Amino acid sequence: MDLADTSHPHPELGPAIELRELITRGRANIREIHQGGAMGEQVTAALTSLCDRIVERASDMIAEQTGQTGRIGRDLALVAVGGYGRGDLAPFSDVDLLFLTAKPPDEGLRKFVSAMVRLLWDAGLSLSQSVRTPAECFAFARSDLPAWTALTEARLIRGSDPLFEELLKQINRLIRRRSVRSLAEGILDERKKELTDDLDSTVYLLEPSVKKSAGGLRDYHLIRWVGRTRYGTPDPMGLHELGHLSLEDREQIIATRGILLRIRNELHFDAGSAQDIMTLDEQQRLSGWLGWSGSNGLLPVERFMQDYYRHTTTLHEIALRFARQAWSSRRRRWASLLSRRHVDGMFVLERHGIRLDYAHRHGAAVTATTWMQLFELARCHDVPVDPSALEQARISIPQSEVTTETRRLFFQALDNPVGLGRLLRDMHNAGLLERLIPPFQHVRCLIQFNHYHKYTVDEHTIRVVEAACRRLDDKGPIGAAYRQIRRKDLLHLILLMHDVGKGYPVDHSEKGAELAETVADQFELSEHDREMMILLIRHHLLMANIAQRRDLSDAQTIVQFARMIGTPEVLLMLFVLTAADTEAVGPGNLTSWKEALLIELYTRAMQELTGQVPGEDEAARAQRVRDEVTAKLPTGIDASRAVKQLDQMPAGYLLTTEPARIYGHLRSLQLYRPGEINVTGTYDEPTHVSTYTVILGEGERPGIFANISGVLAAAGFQILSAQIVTRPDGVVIDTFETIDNDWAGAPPPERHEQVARNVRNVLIGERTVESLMGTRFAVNETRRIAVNAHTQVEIDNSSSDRFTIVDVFATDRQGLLYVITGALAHLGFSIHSAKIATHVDQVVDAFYVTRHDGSKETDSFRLTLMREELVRRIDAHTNPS
Amino acid sequence: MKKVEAIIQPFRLDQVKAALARLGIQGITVSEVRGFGRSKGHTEHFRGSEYSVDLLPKLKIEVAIKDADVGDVVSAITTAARTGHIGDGKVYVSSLSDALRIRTSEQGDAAIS
Repeated sequence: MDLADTSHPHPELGPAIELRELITRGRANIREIHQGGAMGEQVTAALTSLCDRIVERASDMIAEQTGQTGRIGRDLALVAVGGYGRGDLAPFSDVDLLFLTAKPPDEGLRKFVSAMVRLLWDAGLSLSQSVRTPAECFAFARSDLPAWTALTEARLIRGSDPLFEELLKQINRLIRRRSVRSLAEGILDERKKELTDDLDSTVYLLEPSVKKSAGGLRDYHLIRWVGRTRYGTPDPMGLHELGHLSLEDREQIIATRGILLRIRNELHFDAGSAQDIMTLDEQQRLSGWLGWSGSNGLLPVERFMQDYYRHTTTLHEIALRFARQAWSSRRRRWASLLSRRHVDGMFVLERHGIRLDYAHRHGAAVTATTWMQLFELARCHDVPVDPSALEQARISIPQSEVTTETRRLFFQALDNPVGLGRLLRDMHNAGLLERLIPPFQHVRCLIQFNHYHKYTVDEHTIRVVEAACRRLDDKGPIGAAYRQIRRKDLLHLILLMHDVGKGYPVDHSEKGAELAETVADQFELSEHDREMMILLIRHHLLMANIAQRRDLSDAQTIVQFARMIGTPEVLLMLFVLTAADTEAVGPGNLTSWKEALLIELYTRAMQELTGQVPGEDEAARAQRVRDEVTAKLPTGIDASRAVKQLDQMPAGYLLTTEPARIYGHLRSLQLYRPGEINVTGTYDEPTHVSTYTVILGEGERPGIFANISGVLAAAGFQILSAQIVTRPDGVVIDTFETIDNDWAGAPPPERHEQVARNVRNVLIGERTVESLMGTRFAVNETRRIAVNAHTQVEIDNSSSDRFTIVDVFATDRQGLLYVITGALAHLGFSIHSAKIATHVDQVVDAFYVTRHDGSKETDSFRLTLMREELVRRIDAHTNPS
Repeated sequence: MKKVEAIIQPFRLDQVKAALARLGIQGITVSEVRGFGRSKGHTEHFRGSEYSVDLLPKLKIEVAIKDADVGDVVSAITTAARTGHIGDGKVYVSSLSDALRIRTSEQGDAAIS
């Protein structure tokens, strides 16, 4: 016989070919119904029937072939188990078949079974078979959970009824025998294990499996298995009638099941194989096939997947809640009776959970505020919320009113990072989060259709908050910054809001800023807080962009960035936000590479805004600098005196001053006598910079800095940079780097002496700056004045305990520093330290100021006045009209 | 065939990509790397922070090209990546014994065209 000749196939293949054709034709017919819009359940029922017919036909053929015809009804039963038994076969699902025998099979039955199995395989079914007696089934299922769950769906196809009855008896025996709770727990643990075996166990992986991902068909099966095991029936309708499922839950389960089955059927039909995963391509195709359209800034696939995820997250939540509730047995309640406490007159707190007390479960009014309290208590005591409470919450929250008190409690809760992620998830699952932050509703389950974002927007947002909270214990600079932020409540609210602008036809940063205005009003934020929130949301991508795409060693980049940020307080928040946002896009997204760039930008910007190098443990680092400096003292500086002087120097000074300058100061300090005013000037040939150092011991007197600046301005100096150091012992060291515009080359020594004289005279009160200026204060017009960056003054009153930080951004002009410092003195402020820097034509100055008596200014009205006055005077000076 | 590897400043990526595109180079590989050269990461006197690193973030660009194109490609990359400051990076040229396009199994020059 010619093996290639298919017109005369091998005799044994005849039946297989017939069956194969039956299957193919059957599937094709069913596919037509499916294409015509039939529900998922209808299609799977039809496929199950088709399979039954195939099995029956096969058993007829084989029984005849092996001469076992009579025995089928007597000694054998063909039983469908698993998904096949349940009746929801997909076009290419596995077929689980149990050959049930009365006793271990003899020769004849064995032949029958092997021939059946061969035939069904040849016919193209993906068969998964077992041969057991009822007693063997019992024994096997007792120790193997998947075998047990498959067995609970047993359905007789054909064969001995009494034998099948025996099997059912064994199943019931198993339920009674093994403690109900441990069975149900076993099922839940299996499911959790299955979920964590996936790389990341949220519903929201980019390409979910309709079967296995959270909220997929497995969760529906879970409900059935737990229902069967605990309450005797697997069907949601039956469970509802018995009172174990609420109406809402039942409807949700049925609706989601329908969607999942329809999608799975289409995935199988299209692939021609057992394909359960919705790849990105399939998602797009399905959205079209199912008839979704786009709208209002969302693609059809985005709307489709949002709907899909909303259904699956609900199903997942119901399944977990249902399973947990199934084993809250009385015995467990007794055990925790000892730990039970009543809290706040409304709640019962036990070791395994918190719930409402009897009165509130049955009728007493439960407000949104109550739910907020409940969730917060659950977080504080680190216990789960009882399933019954969750169920009631889901129903009651959409209708309960959110009051100022609810928001106040929520805002307060936001201030505590420990367990905050968990609190937000509980609130989100119950629908409370979007009542408190209405824009959050729009981004629930919203996908961002690209390869980059692994999570839906709501999931991403909560992960951002979690990423930030994890920084509490981080030893690096991001952790240090997070710990420094005082207003964590505001920060976390901003994090929650940062992406709410997604899914609209406009730029999401702008939209987010707009939405933030309403939320800020609802939360009754102060003007300052509100502005910070809007600024941070509007620019939440700024830092990442600059860090990765701009030259960080270019001063202009840093200056422009610092201008947009304005204050150290904002910089701290944006730094933490950027790190958390990048981290929460997907696993491994925040590489140490990106982190390094981000940290560099942060460090440089912070220096620009404060003159300080950020970091914790200043004291230790400062001591290191002291040690280094002392070890390398140049000749001419006495070691023991140097050590004494260095001990007096504040940490900020030591950490930001170059060694060369420190040595210069030490030399000057050697010559200094208390009560004197010591002024030294040096000239550096290559850079043409004249450096003037003024040392005096009067402590912070208002106007010292202003006066010196004035003297220098009056003498025609252009001030490039300046540093003020006020030591605890009252010694003040002011250093100015200047360009002496009167001299092209090195100025003569008389020049330094003249300046020194003038400074001393002004400081002791013998002359005024104005009298000096009379002769000289023509603005040096020959210097080009840049086309404009407007004047900007920012006040940060929270980053420092002792000082108010004033950041000034302006266009450079002769005498500007005198104007600024003069204004500060005039308004009643003392400058404790300052960082003055000029970048080409841009000035970025940071002043640490206090009231004249040394205390920190707390009156925000006075600060606002100061700000306005500074802007006015600077503008008047730079643009005299 | 030759392989050109360039270590560049991250913020010059767009310029280098544009320069290669103008030459008609069809494909490049970019990876995030860290490193330092002679100056050990110090571009200016920067009073170090606690977290100062000498392994600075850079980008590595790799292209496979025909022998004849080496001069143009190296020149294009160099010009596009240069800022004139310390830290601009390096270009390495090595010999490539073979190249293959996975989808079509084209080999040699055909694979890199």
